[in-house]
Amino acid sequence: MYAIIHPIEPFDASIGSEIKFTWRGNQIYKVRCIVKNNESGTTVYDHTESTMKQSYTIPANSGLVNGVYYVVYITVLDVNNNESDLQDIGTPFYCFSKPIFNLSISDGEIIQTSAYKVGLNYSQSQGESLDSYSFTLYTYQKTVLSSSGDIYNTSDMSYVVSGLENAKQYYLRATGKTLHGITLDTGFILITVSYTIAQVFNTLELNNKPESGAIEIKSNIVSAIGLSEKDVIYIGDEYADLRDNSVTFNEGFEVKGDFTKIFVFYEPERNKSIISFGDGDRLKVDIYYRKGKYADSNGEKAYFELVANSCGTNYVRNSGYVNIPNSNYQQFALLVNRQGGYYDLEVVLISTVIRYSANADGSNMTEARQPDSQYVGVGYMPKDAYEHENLLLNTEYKIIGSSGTPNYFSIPTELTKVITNNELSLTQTAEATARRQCIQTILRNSSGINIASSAEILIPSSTNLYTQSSYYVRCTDSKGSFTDIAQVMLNTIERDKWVLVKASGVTRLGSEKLGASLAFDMKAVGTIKIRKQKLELGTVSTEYTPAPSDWVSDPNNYTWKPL
Amino acid sequence: MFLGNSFASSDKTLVSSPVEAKNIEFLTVRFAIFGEVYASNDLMTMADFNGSVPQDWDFNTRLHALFKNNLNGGNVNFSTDIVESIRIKRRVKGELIFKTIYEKPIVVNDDFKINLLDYMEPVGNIEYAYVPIISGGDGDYIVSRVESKFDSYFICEKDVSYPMVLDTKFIKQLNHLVGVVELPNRLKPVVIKGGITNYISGDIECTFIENQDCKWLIDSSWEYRNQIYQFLTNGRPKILKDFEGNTWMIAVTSGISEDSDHYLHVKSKFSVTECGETSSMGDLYDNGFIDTDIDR
Repeated sequence: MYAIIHPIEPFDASIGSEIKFTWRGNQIYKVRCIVKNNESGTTVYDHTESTMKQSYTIPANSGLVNGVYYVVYITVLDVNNNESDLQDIGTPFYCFSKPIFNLSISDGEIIQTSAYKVGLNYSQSQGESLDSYSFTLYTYQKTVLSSSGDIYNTSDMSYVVSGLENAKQYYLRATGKTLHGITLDTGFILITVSYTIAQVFNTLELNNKPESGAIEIKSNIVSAIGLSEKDVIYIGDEYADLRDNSVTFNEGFEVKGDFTKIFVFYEPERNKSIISFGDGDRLKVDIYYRKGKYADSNGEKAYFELVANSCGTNYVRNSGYVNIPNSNYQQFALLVNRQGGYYDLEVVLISTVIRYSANADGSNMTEARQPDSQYVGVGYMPKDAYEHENLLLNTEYKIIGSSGTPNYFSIPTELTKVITNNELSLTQTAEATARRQCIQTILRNSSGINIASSAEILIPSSTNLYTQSSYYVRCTDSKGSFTDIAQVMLNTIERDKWVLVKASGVTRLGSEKLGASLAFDMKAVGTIKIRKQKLELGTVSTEYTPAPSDWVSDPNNYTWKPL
Repeated sequence: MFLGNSFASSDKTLVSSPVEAKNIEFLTVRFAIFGEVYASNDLMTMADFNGSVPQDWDFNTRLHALFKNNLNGGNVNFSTDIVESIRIKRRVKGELIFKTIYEKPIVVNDDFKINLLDYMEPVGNIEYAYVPIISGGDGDYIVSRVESKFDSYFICEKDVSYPMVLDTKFIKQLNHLVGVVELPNRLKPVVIKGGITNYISGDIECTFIENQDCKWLIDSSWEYRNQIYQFLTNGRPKILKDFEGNTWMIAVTSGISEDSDHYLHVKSKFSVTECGETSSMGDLYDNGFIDTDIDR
């Protein structure tokens, strides 16, 4: 009589595995396990273990090697050491190292769409093939929402999970099996869905038609890929250098009737047709870049000339003048409208920023090129930097406070009316008895909103501050009670140099007025200087975005290239 | 003419002659470094132009190239060069995977446009996917969801459906074949179920009158009725679906009888028997409801 060995799933030889069997004879006292190499027949493992269980555990590092096919035999010994018969045919099994089996999405990841294509990675160092796999989507409570079913195609291991609802959490899990039966499981991967709803336009438009009991399926696909004359050189992942090249869109591109076209570009070549479009037959429109000194241009200016030709008729239209870009990196934004047979065009300059530096990292950069400038930095200011208005511009400095006299702070007369980025020097001529504030601006109805403030402050080491001296934004209600937010303590600022200070906060509920205040006092005669102040305001709670002046002064915002 | 230009065709002339507003079928950009090219049928006001370019696609957007290391100007990242065909796949509530209901080979760019009606869908939430086939495999799925909703019975084929609204009755029974055998020395008979058949059959009754723009066309109902009789007796299987979400693939198994209490009020009656599974892509293909059996 012999033990009946249960099927054995491939296992990692460095981990070991438990082999189960069924035995119907005398009580087990010992179990002997013999493992042979299937190909050569040589015994690679032969051990006896004292146990009463109907199983034998092959330990880690037993001498078995991953990637090899083995057969196992089990005998049992009773209390008198009577050994059972050996099986006529051993039970085969493979040893494989543990495969890598994971999803392309990591645990806790945020998905910003309602339909997401998730990928699956599989590899096994001995080349064990993947046989089948499946994806399952679960609710947060781990009930199954949908499943791909078993997929046998291993060339494209992906699955589209769809119907994901905004602001919900789900679990994704993939399971699978290898060719020789290793079971695979990624475990439950938590995903959070967060996306903006109500995008009316959809590339796949579906309409319920109740009168005919049907669904209308319409695609709004535009597949238009430009063809270039030669290989395109891309700059900074955002620009195509077509100075000695051209790109034509025709396949999939068609515009009927009235239209607007917008082109953003820089370094156009003078007197060349930089844009042309038409029907490929009778209509051709060319837009030329012109620059020069003209009778009505008040110095050297640039403009664009549109020439539309149809059957010998020329329709010519010029844009207004714009300044010549102060560097080759400043960009033109050109708008072309067609209404009926009439064209019109408008051009504006949009900002890119250029700086020079002697160092490759842009440190100590300057606006103008210096004799020691070795590198040029090109920066494209993000739109959110210049979309945030500086609310402090065109506001007045005023000294407030019930005690003290105006000479506590000496404010230069030319800066009392309008605040600019100019330096403002505040000097105290006698010891203060209380804090003094300079209020710059008042905004009405500014309750519960995000603000971000920044400024550059210079405090000489000779100036002796009280510990409460600070730069902050004050929210005041109709009764005059206030809360200070976005506070920067001045005694933490390094002395004798301009220091950029930044702070942000949410104005308190019930605030009726908002004032950016600089409040400080000094024990002795001294000076504090402040410049480049900015107060930004948003209607929604967003992260702090840099003020343009902050953005411009950070060398990390530029791509530095040798001159 | 002066130096090759007409006097009426220059920026200095008092009257500028418009040119033909022909369709624009090509656009070339060159001799500069381009960051964005945008075209739309929405006219922007020139006075409001500050250099910003609309970033969201809408129904009037025709081109938006951003040159992010590619020359894509459309709202998808595939083109006729790489796409062999496109498939429309459907997943109804309760189904685990998308199943192909339509396939179209892509030869020219216009082939990407799809406009079709799916009559086979039941009531409930349904997802459709637009899938480009690239090198034999599925490309990125473009998925949309819609709630299918209707109030009456419909009887349909692949490209046509008829609502059954007035006086509608569907008396049905679920059939499963069993035999009852009475044996000589046995008090109770033996019941034998020989096969696995399990199907619906029944009688449908309906007054067929066409409804156009919320008006019942009673006077021409005879013509509409005859059209439906042609449809019911063409020998092809139909899909019958109700407002609760049931769908049955049926065949008309009887003649059509009429019962009338007025010459304009004619009730038609016929029998049907289930002949396939509406969830089986194989059955749908074999019975001519879809043109592709990829997901059989």
